[in-house]
This record gives sequence, structure tokens and C-alpha cells, in this order.
Amino acid sequence: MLLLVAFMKQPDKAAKVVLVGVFIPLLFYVITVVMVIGALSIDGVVMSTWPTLELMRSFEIPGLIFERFESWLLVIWIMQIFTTFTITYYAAALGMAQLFKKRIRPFVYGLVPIIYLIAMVPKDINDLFKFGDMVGNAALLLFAVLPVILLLVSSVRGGKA
Amino acid sequence: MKHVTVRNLLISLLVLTLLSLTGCWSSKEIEDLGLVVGTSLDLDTQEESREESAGQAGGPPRRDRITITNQFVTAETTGKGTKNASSQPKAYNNVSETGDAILPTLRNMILRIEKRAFDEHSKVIIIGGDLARTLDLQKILDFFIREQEMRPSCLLLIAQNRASQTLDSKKPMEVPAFKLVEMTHGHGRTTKILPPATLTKIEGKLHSGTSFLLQNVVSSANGDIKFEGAAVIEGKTRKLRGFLNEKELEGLTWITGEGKGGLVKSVDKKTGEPIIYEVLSMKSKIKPRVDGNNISFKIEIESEGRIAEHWVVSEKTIETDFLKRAEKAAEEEVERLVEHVLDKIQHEYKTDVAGFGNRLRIAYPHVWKAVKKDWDQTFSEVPIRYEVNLTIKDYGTADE
Repeated sequence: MLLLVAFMKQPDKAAKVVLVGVFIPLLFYVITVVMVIGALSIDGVVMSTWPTLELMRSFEIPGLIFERFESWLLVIWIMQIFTTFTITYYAAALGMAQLFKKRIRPFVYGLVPIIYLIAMVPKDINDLFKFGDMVGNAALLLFAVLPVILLLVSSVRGGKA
Repeated sequence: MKHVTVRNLLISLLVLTLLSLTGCWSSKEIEDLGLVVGTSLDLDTQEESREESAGQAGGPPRRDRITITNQFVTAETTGKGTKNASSQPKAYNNVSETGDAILPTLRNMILRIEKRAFDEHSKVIIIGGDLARTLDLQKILDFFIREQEMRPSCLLLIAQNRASQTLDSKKPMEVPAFKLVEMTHGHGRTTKILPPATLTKIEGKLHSGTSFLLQNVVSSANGDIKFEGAAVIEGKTRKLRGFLNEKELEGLTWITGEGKGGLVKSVDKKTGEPIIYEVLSMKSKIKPRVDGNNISFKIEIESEGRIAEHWVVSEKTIETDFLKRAEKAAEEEVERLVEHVLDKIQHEYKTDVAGFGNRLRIAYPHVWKAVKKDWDQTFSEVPIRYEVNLTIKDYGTADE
């Protein structure tokens, strides 16, 4: 999200775009949480591994779409994962390219095996959950703590603007 | 130039479409599947087999053995069978197997049937009363909750006698599992049927240790099945505690206000003739009150309905006086039902199956924290008042 802002044609509209972009998923997630907890109750949510999927599987309105709704949900989910993946992947490749001052192409291809190997690291599903938590925490560190430090450094050094 | 690109794109699209046309991944031929539509679980009654398994020295400790019956729909139901058989074939096929855990027992069914048992279309699980009395429901249902093929929208019922009997039918073209599911839809028209309890709903209740009700099915010797009252599951032990009969279930539905329709048969005081009140809408509010250490509840029941039938020939429904009298009579009847069931769940079963605890949790979270551990016991001593308010809106097409 922050990365795309750097490429905007009209950077002055960045704040608005970012806010809207954050607000829409926020709304969706809040609705999801309310729905899941409302339907399964807190005790039910605690018990199930995939509460949202569980919710989708547990209601059935006989008829056309709402029976077996989870397959539609999974299709959209995979599309969503694809879009987020492409953006972050491109960002990673671009970052490396700029870091090493090389062309982007070798990095785009070079990242594939690396990501594959990293994906193979968690041995079981509990490891995977831990790994996910770790990535989340790392994101907090990288996008909240690090920028502040960098800003401090730049203001101490007295860079321009 | 541009045309060429478009054409190339179209060609590649065609090729890609061809790729996807070659077949489906992980497809299962429907002819090879044994579609499970219902499952019943019973306590094994054959003592010999029990001793046999217990006799093995050094084996695992003796456990209660469970008899599982899977109901498969046969080709005749799905309309693909040959129609020239002289005797009418049955629409379903029941397969039973006994074992001490669920999945090994189910897998042992492979030894008896040629088709792959497929649980995706399973509609109902029926647990026999004996089994529910002896084994923790959480343990029994663990497999069904954990299994991915099983849908959480599957219904759960309790059978007062053997559960496998409820999956039997004398009529050849009837599939008992479907029949049971259809029958739960009657909830909208009577207060004697509980709202359908799916695995999802049960899961949370089992985990939180609240007591709850499950619809009770009774099967008679001649192959008839009937919904009769409800089974009370105690939250702490997660075992069957006892049964509520139809009248008591009616009272309970009035307390929870979950009914969508139903009748109240009251008796006119003056003449002794019946007046039938038909419920159009039902609402109930359970209001908890906490004074120091004393918890009390007040139930406010409100309903609107109509006079559906009355045998009091001397009176006219067009007169407001009579309507008021009928309202009063119906209110008294509902009060009687509520009082009766409250007495039963508070003093005989000592289980809170009507959700009083949940209301307390919402209104007084701190109090709830203190009492939730031993809530069913506390509940049995709590004073509960109730107020019934019925309104007769109309009296159909006859004003006599």
C-alpha cells in the first residue's frame, strides 16, 4: 500500500486513497468478525481451526447459490491472495533491484525458488501459524518502528525537507 | 498489427480452454460413491462381543462399544436404477458396524460395501439415548466436527430408543434421513418442535459447558417415527440428563420465544369448551436482576395471534368481551405450561436449557464470571417470575 503511493501520478491525493483503501477491507473484516462470532458464538470460534470457512459451510439455504457457498468463497479468496501476492512480490523484486542497483528481471525470477524454499520451512500446521504470526509481527516492526527510526536519523542529519 | 495480437490472444485462450476441458482434478464418479445421508450412533447391546474384546490380555482397556449405522441412498433413489425388478427395491440401504471409536468403525464398513462412503451430503446424525447417557457428547461428535467432508450444517437428533430404528422405514420409497430433516421444518408451525440444531450450534455449546436441548425422536415397533419432546443435555457432563415431553417443550419454547407458530389450547371458564389460539408471532425477554448476591429473573412473554377455532357456541367472537376472556384463558394456559417446565428444569433436572445464563452473562458479566462455574446448580435455586401477554388480533372469517 505504502509502496504504491510512491508511484502515484498525483501524490497529493495519497492520503485520501490510502484511507479509502484501508477503510474498505476494515469494513469487510469487521462484518466478517461480527458474523462469525454471532453465528458460532465465542466458544465455537475458539474451537474451530478455520472459523470463517466453518461459518460458510454451516448455513445452507436450499436453492441455487447459498448451498455449498464455500466453493465460491474460496474462488474469491484465491483471487484475493493472487492480487496481494503479485503486489508484494513485485515490491520485493523492485526493492532488491534498487538495493543492488541492478536490473529488476533477474530478481523477479530469482525470488521464485527462494520463496518456494521459505514456504517449505514450516513443518506442520502449528509451525505455519507461528510463521504467520512472525511475519505479522515483523511487518509491525518494519512498517511502524523502522520508518520512525529512519525519520529520526534523517532529521538529525538534517536532510532536505 | 493489432489484429495479430488479438488473434494470438484468442488462439492462446482456445488452447488454454482445451487444457481445462480434458477433465476434472480429484473427480469422483457418482456411480462409485455411496452417498451417506444419515448416521445413527447407538450403544452396542451385544454383550458377547464386548467380552470378546475385553478378554484380550494386554489390550486396550475395555470401552463402551458404539454401533454406527450409515444410511446410503441407493441408485433407485437417485433415479438411475433399473425399474424392471418385480419386488419394489428399497430407496435406502443401511449398513451397521460396531467398534469403540468412530472413524475405525466407519472405515470397517469398507469391508461390507463396494462403494466409497461419501459424507458431503450427510444431513442428520441421530444419537441413541443409551449412548448419550453413557458417553460424553464431545467425544462422540469429535470426529464429525473435525472431519472436513462432513458438513457443519448437519442436524443432530436424539433417539429415545435405538437410534438405528429411526433410520428404518416400512415404506420402500421413503428415505428416513430425509424425512427426519423435513420434519424439523415443522418448527415453524408448532411449538412442539425445537429449532433445528446443527453441528455448528452444538459445537459452541459443548465447549462452553452450557446445557441445551436436542430434538427427541421416538420410533415405534411398526417403523413409525415421531418427534416427541426434547432431550436435555447437561452442560457439565455433556451427557443426556433426561427428556422433556411435548407439553414441557411447548412451555420451554414460550420461555425462549423461539417459536414461529403454534397453538394454545385453552378452556373457556364459563362453558368448559376449548378455545384455540393460533400464534402469529412470539417474543420473549428474559430480564436478569442482581441484588447483592441474589440473582432473579423475569420473563416477559408477548405474543400476537388469532382465534383459530372455538367451541363456545353461545358467544360471538365479534364481541370484545369474549375476545378478552379468550385472551385471558390462553394466557393462563401459557402460564401453566411455563410454570410446569420451569419446575421441571429447575428442580428435577437442574439444568439451564432455556438460556437464562446467557442473558445474565450479557447483562451482568461480572456476576456471571463468579457463578458460571456452577451455574446449573445456582440456576436451580434462582427465583423466576413471568408475565404473559397475549393479544388476539383477529378471529378468521367467522365472527360468530
